[in-house]
Amino acid sequence: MSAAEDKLEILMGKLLDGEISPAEQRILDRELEQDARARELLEQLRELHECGHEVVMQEVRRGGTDPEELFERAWKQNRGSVWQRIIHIGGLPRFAVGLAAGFLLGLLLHFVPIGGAKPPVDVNHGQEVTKRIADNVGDRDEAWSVRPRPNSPQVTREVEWYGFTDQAGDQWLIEGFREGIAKPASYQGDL
Amino acid sequence: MNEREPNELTLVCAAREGDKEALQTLLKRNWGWLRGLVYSVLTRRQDLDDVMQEVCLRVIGRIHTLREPERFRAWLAILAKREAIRHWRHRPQEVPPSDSPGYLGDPAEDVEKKDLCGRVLEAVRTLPEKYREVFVLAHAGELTYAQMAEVLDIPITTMQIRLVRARRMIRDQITGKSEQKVHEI
Repeated sequence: MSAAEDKLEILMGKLLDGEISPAEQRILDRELEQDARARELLEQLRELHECGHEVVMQEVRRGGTDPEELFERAWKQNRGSVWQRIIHIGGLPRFAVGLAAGFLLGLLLHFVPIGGAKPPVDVNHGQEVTKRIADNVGDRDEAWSVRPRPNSPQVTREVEWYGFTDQAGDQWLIEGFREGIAKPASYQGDL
Repeated sequence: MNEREPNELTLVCAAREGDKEALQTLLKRNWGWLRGLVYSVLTRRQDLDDVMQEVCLRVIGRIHTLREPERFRAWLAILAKREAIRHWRHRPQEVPPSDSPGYLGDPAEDVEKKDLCGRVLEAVRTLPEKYREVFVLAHAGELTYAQMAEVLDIPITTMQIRLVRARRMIRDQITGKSEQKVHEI
């Protein structure tokens, strides 16, 4: 089939479907006047169009359940679903539910310890740090005699130890709490 | 049809907000072509009501997700086709011939026309889906060419060519001509 035949059939289809414009109608009329085969084709298409309409009406439109009845059934079925009811909450109530859920989640995360998040605490950690600083100093080993801790050995305190040299050249051993509180742990004036 | 466009838009907006009446009216207005579209996938009317109820259920459950109210028909068509395809995939492979009756027609119709319509129905059922859906929509007589193109989400010229080819294939089958190769468009 050529493009011209395609175009002619499109025009005939438009005529049958009521979509043809006056300009297209003139073109089609001219073709029909000149070509007997075109007239025959139009008759065939007209017959097919009528039958097509009948067939579609029978298969699709006639019979079947009333759309309102089907809709009502579907509406009831949809409303019966708890999940759908939750989804259909809208506006302020939905916002309030979201806010409450977020608040609860926040509380949960704040108070429930998460396994593995806490660093291991080593009671000897402070002494090891002190020793490392002393090793670096070299010939001043005696100066780094660490005073015994006032707490009993069983008590674990979460502290960090730091070495610090001030502007005068004096060295300090700093005991720092995890909470950010720092206090001098020992001072050897002759360092 | 254009006169009702603003009204349909208003209805879509109301339906999105959960207005049952608006949604019911919308579905009722679009019922004919929607059934046609579902039929073009299923090719038998026995399952139409089941699928249409599923379509209603989907529309009710998802109307609030529709972002462009002016594209309601296209959205509805996609939803209906998906549902029809899903149903078609799950139906029994072997359909007994008695489940797909031929053309019954009007008792007053003459025998010759009844016979012709029967052959048209058989030919429609054997069309490739993309031609069948165009043919069914065009003969349901509800939508203009532009609306059909919108529903099928294809250019209007493509829709017109598909319709010409669908009619030609049916004509060839009825007149007993050998099947012609239809080029993909």
